[in-house]
Amino acid sequence: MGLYEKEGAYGAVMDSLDNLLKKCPELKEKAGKKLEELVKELSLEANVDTVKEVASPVDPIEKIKKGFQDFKAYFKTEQKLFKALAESQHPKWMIIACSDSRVDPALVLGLELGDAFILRNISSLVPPYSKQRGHASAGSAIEYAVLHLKVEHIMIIGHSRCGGIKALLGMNEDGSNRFSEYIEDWVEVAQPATKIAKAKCAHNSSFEEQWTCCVKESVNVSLWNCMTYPFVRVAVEQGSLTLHGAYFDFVNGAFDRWGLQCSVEEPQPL
Amino acid sequence: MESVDNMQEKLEELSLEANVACPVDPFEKMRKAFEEFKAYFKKEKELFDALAQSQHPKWMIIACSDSRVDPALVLGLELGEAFILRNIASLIPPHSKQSGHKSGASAIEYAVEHLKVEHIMIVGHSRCGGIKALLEMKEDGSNRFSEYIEDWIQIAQPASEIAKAKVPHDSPFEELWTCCVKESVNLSLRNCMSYPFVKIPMEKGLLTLHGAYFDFVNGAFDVWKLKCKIDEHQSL
Repeated sequence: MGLYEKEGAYGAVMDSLDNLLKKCPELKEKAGKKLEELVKELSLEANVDTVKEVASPVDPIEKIKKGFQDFKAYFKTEQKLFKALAESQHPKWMIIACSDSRVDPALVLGLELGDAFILRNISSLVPPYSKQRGHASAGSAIEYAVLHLKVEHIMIIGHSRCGGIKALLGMNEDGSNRFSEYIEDWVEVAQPATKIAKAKCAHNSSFEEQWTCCVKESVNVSLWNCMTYPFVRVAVEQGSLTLHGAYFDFVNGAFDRWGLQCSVEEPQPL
Repeated sequence: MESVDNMQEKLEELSLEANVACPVDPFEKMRKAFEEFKAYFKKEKELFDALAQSQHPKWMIIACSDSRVDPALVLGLELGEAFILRNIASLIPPHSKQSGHKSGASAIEYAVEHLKVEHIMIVGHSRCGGIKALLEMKEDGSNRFSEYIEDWIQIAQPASEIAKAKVPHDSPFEELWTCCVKESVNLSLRNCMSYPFVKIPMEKGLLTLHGAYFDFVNGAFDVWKLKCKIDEHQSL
């Protein structure tokens, strides 16, 4: 059954051409040339310009120059907003997202300047609280957001096809397939998530299913790690701060979120 | 005077009632925006089919977590264009085997070695709270106020010393602040270069490093390049 079977006379010819070229691949070049002539002829008839415009590669620096010109125009029209922002910021949100170029929270969630204090790193990881304070990048950002900016919400966003989590899933326990200087040391923060995901996912699930599950469990690990910071814990228990997890799926265009419910009951006598 | 106080009280009462009756849904704005995104997603099927497979950003941008300096909004970036690292004061610590600071290093390693970005830009900005805290830190740590913040911004300590040397003593604080932010960007750029996986493509001309200063007080964005060249060895 040919590819073009359902397309009438045109289809029949294309199918026989296909078959011929399968049998005699050396004829492909000649066929290509003849077809090109045919396309030109037909385009002239139809008045269509077939000369493909070789897209001149956009200079990345020129592009951001233009982008900033657009911003400047916006800046001039929003004088009141920017005068206020110049003095101070009062974001209600802290968002922790992956550095992946496909998951910019401002673009996906329609944020405006001043809305969210944003931490971005590989796989949106938050290491646990530690006196050794090796991972001060996340700790300092959360401390500033909670104690100084007094944000009301922290949202950690995982996403589809996360390279960091994929690397994590591929890591041998004995480190025998180590490929980086720093990447594996960083994604290791989410190590508990691989064990959880492997336990949760059925043995016969596809890699894509395990990958998705591991991203979501990694978000949960980071949320629990957030709770190990005393200043987060206190604010959550006082009700002035809420933690949220989220999963942005740019394969299917979906955004799911969930809350972290955390409470310690009042002690009661036995 | 009394009537003003009464009015104030009434306003507060009403506001409380309103909050209870119709609690503000924190997700309302995001939900609407995501609907718009979904429409865009459906329209740009070719783009998103490609992005679903892989990302090929030409940029890595390192920016401050400050809510007023979102690089995508300020520079008109689109999804897929820039791999973005954000932390307080957009700092990059130097390469170190002992270093606990792996978040920046891992991001740069991934961007340069795996994504093969062509440009790294570090963006400092006006009124940076992190740099202000750095300038106010006493050497003996006697006015320490945080658990993590000072340990983090300490990375930029050399920039504070350079700025204090460059700016005249009697200048307004704003001048010292601005200078220190720019010197901190330069410091982070040099720290970037301390990573072999940055240095090598730079020397081959495959990677360019840029510093930038976003001034949201005056609506300006300045950029500069870090150039580094080692001359050909010559005999004495």
